[in-house]
Amino acid sequence: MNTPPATVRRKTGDLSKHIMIWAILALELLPFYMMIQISLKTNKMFYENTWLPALPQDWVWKNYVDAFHLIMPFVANSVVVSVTATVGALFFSLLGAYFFARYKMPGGNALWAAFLLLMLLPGVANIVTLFALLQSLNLLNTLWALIILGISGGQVFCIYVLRNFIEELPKDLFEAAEMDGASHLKQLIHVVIPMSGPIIGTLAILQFLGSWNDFLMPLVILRDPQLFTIGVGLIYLDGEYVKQWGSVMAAFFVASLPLLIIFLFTMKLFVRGLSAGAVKG
Amino acid sequence: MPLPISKTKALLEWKLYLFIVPSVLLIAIFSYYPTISAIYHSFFMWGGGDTKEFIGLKNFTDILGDKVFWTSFITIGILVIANVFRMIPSIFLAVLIHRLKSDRWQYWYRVMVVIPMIVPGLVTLFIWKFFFDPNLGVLNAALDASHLKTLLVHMDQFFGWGVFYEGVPTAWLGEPALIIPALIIWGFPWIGAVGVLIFLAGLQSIGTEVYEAADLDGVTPFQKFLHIELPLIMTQVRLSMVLMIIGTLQGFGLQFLLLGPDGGAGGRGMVPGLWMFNRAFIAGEFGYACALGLFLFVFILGLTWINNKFVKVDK
Amino acid sequence: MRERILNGIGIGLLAVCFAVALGRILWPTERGSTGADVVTIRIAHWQLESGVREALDAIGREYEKLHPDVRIQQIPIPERIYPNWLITQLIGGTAPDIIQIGIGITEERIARFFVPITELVELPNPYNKGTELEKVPMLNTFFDGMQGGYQENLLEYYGVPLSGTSIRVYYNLGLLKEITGSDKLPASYREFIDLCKATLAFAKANNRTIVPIAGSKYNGPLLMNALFASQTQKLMDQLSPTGTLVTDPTLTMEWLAQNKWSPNSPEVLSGLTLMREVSEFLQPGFMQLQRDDATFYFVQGRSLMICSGSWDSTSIRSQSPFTVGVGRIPFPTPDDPEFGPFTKGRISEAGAVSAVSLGLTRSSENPAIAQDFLLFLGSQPANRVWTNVSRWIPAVVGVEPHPDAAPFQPLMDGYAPGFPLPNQPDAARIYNTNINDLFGPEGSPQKFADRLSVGYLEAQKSDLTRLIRSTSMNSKRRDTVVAALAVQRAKDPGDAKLDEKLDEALQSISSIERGYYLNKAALRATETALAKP
Repeated sequence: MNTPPATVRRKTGDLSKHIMIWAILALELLPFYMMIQISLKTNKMFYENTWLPALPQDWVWKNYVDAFHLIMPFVANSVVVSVTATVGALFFSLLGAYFFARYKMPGGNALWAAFLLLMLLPGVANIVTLFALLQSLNLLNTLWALIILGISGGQVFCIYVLRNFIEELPKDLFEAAEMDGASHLKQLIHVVIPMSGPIIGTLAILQFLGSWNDFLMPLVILRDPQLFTIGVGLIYLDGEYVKQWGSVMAAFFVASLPLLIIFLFTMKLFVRGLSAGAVKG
Repeated sequence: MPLPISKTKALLEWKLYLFIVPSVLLIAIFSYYPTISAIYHSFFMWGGGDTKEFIGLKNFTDILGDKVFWTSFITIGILVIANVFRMIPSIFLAVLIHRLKSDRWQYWYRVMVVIPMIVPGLVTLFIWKFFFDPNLGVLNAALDASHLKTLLVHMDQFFGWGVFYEGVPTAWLGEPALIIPALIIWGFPWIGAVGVLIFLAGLQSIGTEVYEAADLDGVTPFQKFLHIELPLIMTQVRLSMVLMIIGTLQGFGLQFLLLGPDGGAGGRGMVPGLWMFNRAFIAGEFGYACALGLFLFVFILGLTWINNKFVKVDK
Repeated sequence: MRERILNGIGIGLLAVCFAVALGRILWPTERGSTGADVVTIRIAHWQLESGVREALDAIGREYEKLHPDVRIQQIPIPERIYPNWLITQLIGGTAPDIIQIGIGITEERIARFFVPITELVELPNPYNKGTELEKVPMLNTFFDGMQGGYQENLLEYYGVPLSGTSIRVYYNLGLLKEITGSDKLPASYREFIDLCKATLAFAKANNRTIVPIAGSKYNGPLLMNALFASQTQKLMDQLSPTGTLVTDPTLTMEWLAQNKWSPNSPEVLSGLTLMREVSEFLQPGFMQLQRDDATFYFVQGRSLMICSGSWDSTSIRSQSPFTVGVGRIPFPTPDDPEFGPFTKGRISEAGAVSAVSLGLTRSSENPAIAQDFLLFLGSQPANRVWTNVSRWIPAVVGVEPHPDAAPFQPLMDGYAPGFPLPNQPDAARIYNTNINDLFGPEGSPQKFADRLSVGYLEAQKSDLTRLIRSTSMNSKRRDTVVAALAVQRAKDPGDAKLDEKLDEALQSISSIERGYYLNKAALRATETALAKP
């Protein structure tokens, strides 16, 4: 740890640093602030008063009502896809990482190379043939396609991180469990999972974010507006000719709500997990 | 390290292979098959569906004459270089936070850095698109209010750009010459929460004695950065840079959302990935798009290989 | 511990959201649901303007009253992503039953993915029963003979149009009164320019930012191209061998190669001068702005006028806090001192073509029902609903336009338009990349004309090559049809219907080949012209 010895703490020298940090953070949070303050105004109010928020008695709550109608279906679809993809990816990744980390099984190196290669493989060329593949599997215009793709894509990174993590776990824990007659599955459940809470949490959040932000595959695959996820939904909103920016910003806020909830409650976990994982990387 | 295992024991442990089967199936079907299929189809004139016609290397010779494609490489090159510079604020912020004396503040700042991630990247992009709007956009309002606009108009007249005029709302995404600047400016101040936290974690390993020694030697803050901090986070920086370069080279989501599938006014925002998408999903030339994708793929793979061969980092 | 509880709540909330969302998807309600016996017909389009979605919904509901086992579902897609959405749907085989034809459509795609409805529309429309159109072939029930649904090179009808269109100038009547004291709209180009100058003087005197015309890269050219066509009217008369009233791009290109006109012709220069004069009354830098930027400008009261189509009328009216007046494009009269000599008079809208053309896809799962709905869409009662709800101009004869749409009805009086500058892809590119030389502060008509002179012939070469290739492919496609019909006729000679079809097919080949040879002639002329030093 970085605890300095009990010498004089020169807090004053830090002031300039604090100011700089606050300045940077403020700029970074500007879009967030603008989104919220515009979401409570009409176009006219915004035009007259660009920077400062409107007075509470003037807040246009109707924007949020409109936004809910506009974007709720998309949010719902995104929630289903993202959560399922995250759970699926983590599930398969845990299994896979365990396989690689536990023993050097024959053929293990070749398989590992196959996974590693995917991390560096630019996925550009895939979209076209992926589309054709989904078509022949009759998976076009379904949310299942998105979920499967999310799992397939996400597990690569998760396996990479989880393998490193599992390898660092003390071997005697595994041996003890094995001597107790636990099958590999039980070992996974009872040894690995309890120890890897933060890392799983972090991976879950990253995976969820990735799925939430994806718009390309949904754009190409989905036809019915009632299946659109957030990504496509936002593009849709952007394509309207007559934009009521208040409602649009409110819709953006609603689109961020699930993430807001997640972060509010799991913030520390995420921060810790990222730091822990980063040291390995 | 995974435990070594003898062949006989491995046979007994065959059930372990089941653990990996689903994952392998998934990547075989949804990652490897499409790639191989793309390589195969790049030798065809393919309109999607079942209609295809073998044309050998014609797609590739067409690529050589495809001006839009080569121009897009220049554009993406500019963006890659710009993105390298855009990594600087994250490193800067990480160093700033790291050098604070108070642990409590460090912790709180780490949390605050994560807050912007609440707004999904997509939404941030659309908010920035709104910022770029000529009439209602905040960017123009800020430039006017801070009188930077007047400065820009004067510079324009001096350099002869022809984009900034007094009293005319600047169309950041509508004026061909401003598209690349807009692609670079967006997201100011370019802080990536994940990046900052990773760099911070890397910086943790530096002990205070090093700083105290440096202070005794009268080293300036910047030199401290150059000689103490930078070398130690070099692995993370290098990894981030490699991932960033690969991502930028093949990425086109940013351009698609801000500018549309044609790369915006005058096609200035066209990048290789977007051109591939355009050829496939707008012109309907799937085979050609596969060839383009393959070309891009080989290019990136080549860069990665060069990177591994010649750029070594001491741990 | 506290952290574990917080994490738990977070995950719990997420689980609840997930359950709710999942429930919504697995057991959808109302519109999304389809029982086993309910057929859903989907119709896709890009018209996100105010009024259209509501009108289509209203028509859909009318149809559902007649056919309770059918649901009509609308899929509106933003214009910008329409082309790639269209391709993925068509190729992926998940396309909706009815799709609006226009953006992103090439002839090849129409031939491949859409069902020709020529035979269908040669018969009366059953949904016109009880009206005066009962016995009239559906073709003729439209004000333009269903030209808007016709594909020239394929010689078939593919789409049923819903609306008429026209271009008008919208005025801020309140502001107009302030400036001129009356709300009389300018009738001629001279009056129009005087009004623009008066607006600028007014703005200066009262220290207000008011621009005479709100412009964008969409609205600006709309007005200017229409005015340009007034300057090539007489020239068109001289050059056109058959006195045809319709401009043929191939002929225009051939004439250019034969030097019968050039960007430096006095008529063309006059047209460019006209465009530049008008451009000085738009906002500076208007070519960078988008359609909604100009609309925004106008409805904010920062400009007196805006030029747009009838399709924007509902959007503009609903956003403007002032009364909106609608006027015809102010063409120069023959006695106009500057632009009179080359013009014959104002341009008639008799050649107006219907729009919002809806086609039937081959991959429809319920072709019979989709076709039936298409017929309903093209019927007089449905078109009446259309104009009343969307406030757009009707396409079917005998339908009274909604009072809001009345000013947009095509005006027949006037003369045929002159020819426009070539607008095939490569020529358009030359035009667009150099346009700053016409409109910019340093620009001039002569400068722009010089640029065009340099670039047009070369561009024309590749445009014509492309046209030749596509007519050749179309012709080859027809060959298969003719061969098949010939074989069939050899099997059952004496079938009159078959004879008729074969005749039509042969005629269509002749027609396509005519186009092919015309293009070839134009290309030859172009190459000769290019070879000259």
